[in-house]
Amino acid sequence: MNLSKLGQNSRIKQNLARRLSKDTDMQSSPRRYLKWTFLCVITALFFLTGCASNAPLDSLDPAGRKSEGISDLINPIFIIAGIVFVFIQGAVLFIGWKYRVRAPKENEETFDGGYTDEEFPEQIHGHFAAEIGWTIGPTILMAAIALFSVGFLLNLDDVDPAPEGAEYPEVEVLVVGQQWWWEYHYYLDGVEDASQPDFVTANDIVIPVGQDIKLYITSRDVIHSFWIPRLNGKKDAVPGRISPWVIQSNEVGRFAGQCTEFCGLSHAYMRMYAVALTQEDFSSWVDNQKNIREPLPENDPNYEGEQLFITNCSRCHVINGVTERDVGGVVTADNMEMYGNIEEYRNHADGTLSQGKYAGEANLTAGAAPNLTHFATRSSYAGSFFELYPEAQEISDQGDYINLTTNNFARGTLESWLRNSPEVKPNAQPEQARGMPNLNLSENQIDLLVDYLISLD
Amino acid sequence: MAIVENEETTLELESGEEKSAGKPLGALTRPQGGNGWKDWLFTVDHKKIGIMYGAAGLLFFVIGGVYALFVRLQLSRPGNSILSAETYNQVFTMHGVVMVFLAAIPLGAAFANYLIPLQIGARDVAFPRLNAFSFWVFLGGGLFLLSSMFIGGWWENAPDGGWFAYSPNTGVLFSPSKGIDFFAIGLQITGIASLVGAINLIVTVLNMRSPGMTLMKMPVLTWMLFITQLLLLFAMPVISVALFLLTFDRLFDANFFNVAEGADPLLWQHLFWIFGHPEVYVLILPSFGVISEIIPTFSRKPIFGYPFMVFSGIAIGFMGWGVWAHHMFASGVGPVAVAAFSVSTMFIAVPTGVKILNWLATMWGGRIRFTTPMLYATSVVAMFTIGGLSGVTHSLAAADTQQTDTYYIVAHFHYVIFGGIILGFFGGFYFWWPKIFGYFLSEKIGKSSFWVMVIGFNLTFGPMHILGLQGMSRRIQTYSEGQGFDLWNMVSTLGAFMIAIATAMFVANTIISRRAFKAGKTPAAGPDPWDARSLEWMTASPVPEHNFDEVIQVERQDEFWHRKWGRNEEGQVVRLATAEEVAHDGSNTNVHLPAPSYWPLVAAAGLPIVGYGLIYNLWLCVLGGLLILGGLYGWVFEPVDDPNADSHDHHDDQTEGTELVEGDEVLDQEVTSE
Amino acid sequence: MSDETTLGVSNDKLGMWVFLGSDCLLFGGLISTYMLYKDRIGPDDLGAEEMFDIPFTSVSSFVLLMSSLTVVLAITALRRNDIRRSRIWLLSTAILGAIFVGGQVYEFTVFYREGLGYTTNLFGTAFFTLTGFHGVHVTVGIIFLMSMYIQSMRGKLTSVQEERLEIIGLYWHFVDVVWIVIFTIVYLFPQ
Ligand code: HEA
Ligand code: HEA
Ligand code: HEC
Ligand code: CUA
Ligand SMILES: [Cu+2]
Repeated sequence: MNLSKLGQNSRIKQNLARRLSKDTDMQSSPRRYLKWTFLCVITALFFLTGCASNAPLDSLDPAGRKSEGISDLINPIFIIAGIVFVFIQGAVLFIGWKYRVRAPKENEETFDGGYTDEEFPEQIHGHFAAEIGWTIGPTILMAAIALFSVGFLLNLDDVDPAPEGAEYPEVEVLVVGQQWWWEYHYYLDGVEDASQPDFVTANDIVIPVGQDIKLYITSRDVIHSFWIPRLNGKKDAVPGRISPWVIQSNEVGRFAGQCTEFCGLSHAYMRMYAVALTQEDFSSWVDNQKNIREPLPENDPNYEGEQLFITNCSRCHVINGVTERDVGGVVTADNMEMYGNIEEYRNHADGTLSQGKYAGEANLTAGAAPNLTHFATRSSYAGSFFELYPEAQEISDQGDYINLTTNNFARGTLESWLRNSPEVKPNAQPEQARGMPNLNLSENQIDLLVDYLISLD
Repeated sequence: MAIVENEETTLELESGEEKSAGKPLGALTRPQGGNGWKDWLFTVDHKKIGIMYGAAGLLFFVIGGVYALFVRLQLSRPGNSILSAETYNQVFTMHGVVMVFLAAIPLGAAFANYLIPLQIGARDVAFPRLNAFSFWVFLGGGLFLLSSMFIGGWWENAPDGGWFAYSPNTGVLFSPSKGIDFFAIGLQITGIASLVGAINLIVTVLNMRSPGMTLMKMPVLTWMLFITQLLLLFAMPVISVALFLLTFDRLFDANFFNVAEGADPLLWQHLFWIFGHPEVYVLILPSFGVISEIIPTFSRKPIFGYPFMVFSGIAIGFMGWGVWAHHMFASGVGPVAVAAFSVSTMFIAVPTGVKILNWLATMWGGRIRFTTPMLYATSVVAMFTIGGLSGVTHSLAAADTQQTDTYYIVAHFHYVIFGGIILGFFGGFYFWWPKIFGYFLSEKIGKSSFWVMVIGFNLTFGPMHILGLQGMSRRIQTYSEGQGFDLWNMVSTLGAFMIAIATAMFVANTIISRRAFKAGKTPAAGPDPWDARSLEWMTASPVPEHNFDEVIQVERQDEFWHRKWGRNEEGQVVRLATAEEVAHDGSNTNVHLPAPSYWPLVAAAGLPIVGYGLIYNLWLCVLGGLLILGGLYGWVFEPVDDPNADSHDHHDDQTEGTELVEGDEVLDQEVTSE
Repeated sequence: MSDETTLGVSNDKLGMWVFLGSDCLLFGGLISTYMLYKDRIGPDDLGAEEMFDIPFTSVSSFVLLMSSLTVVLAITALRRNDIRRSRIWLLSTAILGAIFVGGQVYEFTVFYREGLGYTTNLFGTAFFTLTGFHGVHVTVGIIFLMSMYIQSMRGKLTSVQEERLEIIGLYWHFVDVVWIVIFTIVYLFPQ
């Protein structure tokens, strides 16, 4: 067993200790019980570590309007449950202790427990009033809880108007889950009348701080679930359906997420980040994303990399302005129709099929691959399982997402990704064309490709 | 398994010469009662079948537990690679499937089969051969499912879609191995077993009660098992439909879950959870029943509020049908539906709470004897409540969007399942062991294994609350170092091994205690070792083949207890008779019993063969189909219980005039029976 | 334990009732699936309205309904120990059932020729599955009836065994009632 490793992870412990000492005052009344059973200790720890700050997915550490609402809703319930918990456990222990009888000492070894007494306590068959009481009591309690929870529930995906001075008050995002990464279609003026997205990116969903961003969540293959715990609860991405959702962050930062619906092999490796930028940063990020590339001139140091990319990678990946696709030739900013529009993901009750045009015949096999036009502006890749920048870890605190510098790439992992991606992230290649295959590139090709990819800012 | 071996009582068939076989059917002669494996294979005795259900259930529990241990090992540290993603997905799927369908349901069925007829004073179930058929079908289906581990390579073709098998991830496109076929067909087969068993037991409860045993005099356990069977009766066809659709999709290119043709993946979810939620009450109600027998017995008081216990059980059964979509709060079923199911879910806490408080009230003011069964039963009250409370926190749909598919849910359902069901069943084992096998399980080992189990259980699943709320997802094969999951996962893994140790201690206990008994070191249990209350204690231990020597005329609830105890003028409880005086000694050999039969086994054996046929080669289907037909044919033309009697007058074998036998003879019987 | 059961109904009969209760949910599930999918067809596919030949199916439904009557006649005849009549009614029930199944097979082939296969679209898949399950139920019923008929020919079906026929009758009625529901939902109200 790797207990030494356990010891190293002292951050948790310190945290725990800090929390424990800080919070004991509040806990003084149940403290008696803490000594009683081991169980209570567990539960207490669970309340106390609930908000340990070293857990990036911590659902009890809200950073957005919706998640705070959920927190406010559930915290009183935790307290009620805690009270019932203490009451029931206390009652079990108390009754068990008070009314127990011991078998005579000399009988203790006997197999049937060794009780010989023929005494009986009073034979009570029930108490109608009491029983009605504990039927009605919880009923009323639950009714009260129901009452004040349902209102919130019905408004869970409501969108507040954007704050003053937002440059893109209408921005909405179509979130497309697929095996095993997330794709984001940005509609800067909302999806209502748009026929195609303004630009498409993957893995990092970037939002302006303080603004409710409406999401439309769907999938190209199996069911996934979109979840940024610190910003809101989760919503399943169901193929053939579009589910509305909303995220909002009160603070600038990067928030981890995880696909939570079991979606096959790489489910564990299907993560994402939400990045909240200031309104200005968001605008400049958007401006950059809208740019399309032009094929590099032959004298460019990355020319060779680009050519390699076109020959090896463009059958799956798109770089706007560089790679050609069946639909609409070279993909440009105003030629995104190969991504379809939101209608194409909607349920086909009218009999039309939502065949995406992306990956040839089957949008259902996730033959699709991330759009790499601005690959280097993302902090993570391949279902956010890998960090592109070592210092990305710190972004959460500083918010300098758009200032990530290209000279400090996590080059090594990117190289191994290109060398043999199925080795670093389980996928179903080559049989089923899901995930990225091993392309058997030479080391030299990999170097060139990585250089090229890094230049895609 | 140890449990099976030690039932060595001779099978007493009907008296006299009729022991000889009936008319030969084809090449086969009808099997006869006797000793050894044949006796078990062809038995139609509900007790033997119950024991076999129990043994198989325990075996599958250990197998499912071993899967769990591998899951825990893989998750003990971040970035572990003990199991690859492929294998992990199969292992956790098999864990869920085996535990739910092959361990928990059959263990419930074990109690139901063994105890229902005894508790209502019947001689057997309504359809004894059908009962054997259900068992063999269940076993065949279970082995069929397990065989997916080996067939076509080691861990190549086991189901990998999770026990909930959400479409379209289970389509051929996304799960091209044979695993999901094994899943769908295997569960279809075990489903047949549950359905047939349910019909049988429902008819038994409705129609086979002793005179005077009205519904409201039935023991709480019988009531809970009865409700369980009703739930199975109505839930099984729903999962059957779902599995049919899935199978047709995979084998015959149907479109039910083909999104490209416009199918709605949520159809599967609805069908699965309409079955799935009643299913969880199918799992828990038997255990509720078990502890409703144990707690009064050892508190030495009647159950508190019998009608409330019964009606809250019925209420749970009913309400269980109206809450399924609480498993789909994040699926996008629309806010109104979510709100409705959220509210209905909250109210299911009420009848369950009534039960908890009634158990506490039963203990209140009692003279509690903390034997091993009582320890287990008490721990159910405490541990189940924890799981129930986290259940209530899920029921707030808005909050559940943070919780669903995290380890917080895993914590919830293992608290209700392990803390509610498994602990309760272990209590039941200790409680009825002397009745079933005639000897006691060691209290000493029992108590120590209890503590190991309860502590291990809390160490395993308690930390999962924290992990879940900290954002650890379910069904993930790995996690990363920086996510803050390291410590509690390690704790949880250690806890799981404690549970394994405790389980092993239980198995050891059965062996050690049996040895001690055989060596004469421990006393025979006698008919009523715990001074219990219901009718099963009113006959010898182990229970004779024919259950009771004579029909029991029931006048009160807890009839047996009232025959032992009465009140004097002061209103104190005083002994009227000893258990030995009241109980039957099993010496009546003049009882007409259903004869053993080959046919249930033959017919049942056909089903898995059809299953393999559907997956691999249709010719096997023909073979399996012929077996089934042949089995059914032989069955239909075999007289029910008496080879020589006319087929219409079965059940007529009530012998009259058997009197109570003297106490000393009772003792004789006990000594000689083992 | 004794011939007298608690409820006074025989176990076998009660068992059939209980089973039919369960079977209701089987059809419930299939019918719901059909309802969900009946309109999901490709743009060029024929839908339910164009496919169905209501007069034809009405006739075969009527045939099935009549068989419910004949099975009752068979039972009453048997009760009166009028073996010959009961045999005739039994056989006619089975034949009526067989006509219904035959009609269904014919209908299926027609649909298939018109381009609606099992895998064509969701409507086809759901339709064939639902009606197919019902057809299998009828077929099983016919097998029951025929084995009763054979029993009767061998002189083993007398008023003493009347209850067996009654139980099969229960099943037969149930299958009929289910068909009425299916016919109404699937054929008469395709919208
Ligand atoms: C034995 C099995 C069992 C039992 C009995 C229960 C009981 C309950 N369950 Fe659980 N549940 C499961 C097994 C079970 N569950 C399983 C296996 C899953 C996961 C399936 C999967 O996804 O794989 C699940 C998942 C699950 C979910 C879905 C979570 C998700 O995936 O998002 C929800 C949501 O509401 C839920 C709720 C409840 C509730 C409210 C109860 C209630 O019945 C509990 C009632 C009990 C109490 C409340 C305690 C005692 C009461 C009192 C002491 C009275 C006073 C209390 C109050 C007034 C609060 N359960
Ligand atoms: C009856 C139901 C049941 C029971 C009893 C258990 C018991 C256990 N479960 Fe299970 N579990 C489920 C039903 C159950 N589970 C279900 C339905 C799921 C969801 C699956 C899905 O998502 O599809 C699940 C999922 C699940 C997960 C989540 C997997 C994931 O999402 O990735 C985990 C993780 O730790 C887990 C752990 C355990 C453990 C440690 C036990 C332990 O309690 C097991 C203890 C038992 C043993 C350890 C026995 C072994 C004994 C020996 C080895 C001794 C042998 C000795 C001799 C024979 C002499 N379970
Ligand atoms: C057969 C299709 C296919 C080919 C060819 C292919 N890729 Fe990929 N690529 C994918 C898929 C699918 C993913 C997403 C994998 C995942 O996240 O699990 C991906 C992911 C990536 C990513 C991570 C992108 C992100 O933002 O997550 C990079 C970088 C990448 N590929 C580079 C390349 C390069 C360079 C080549 C050519 C040498 C190439 N790919 C060829 C399918 C392909
Ligand atoms: Cu995508 Cu899990
Ligand atoms: Cu549920």
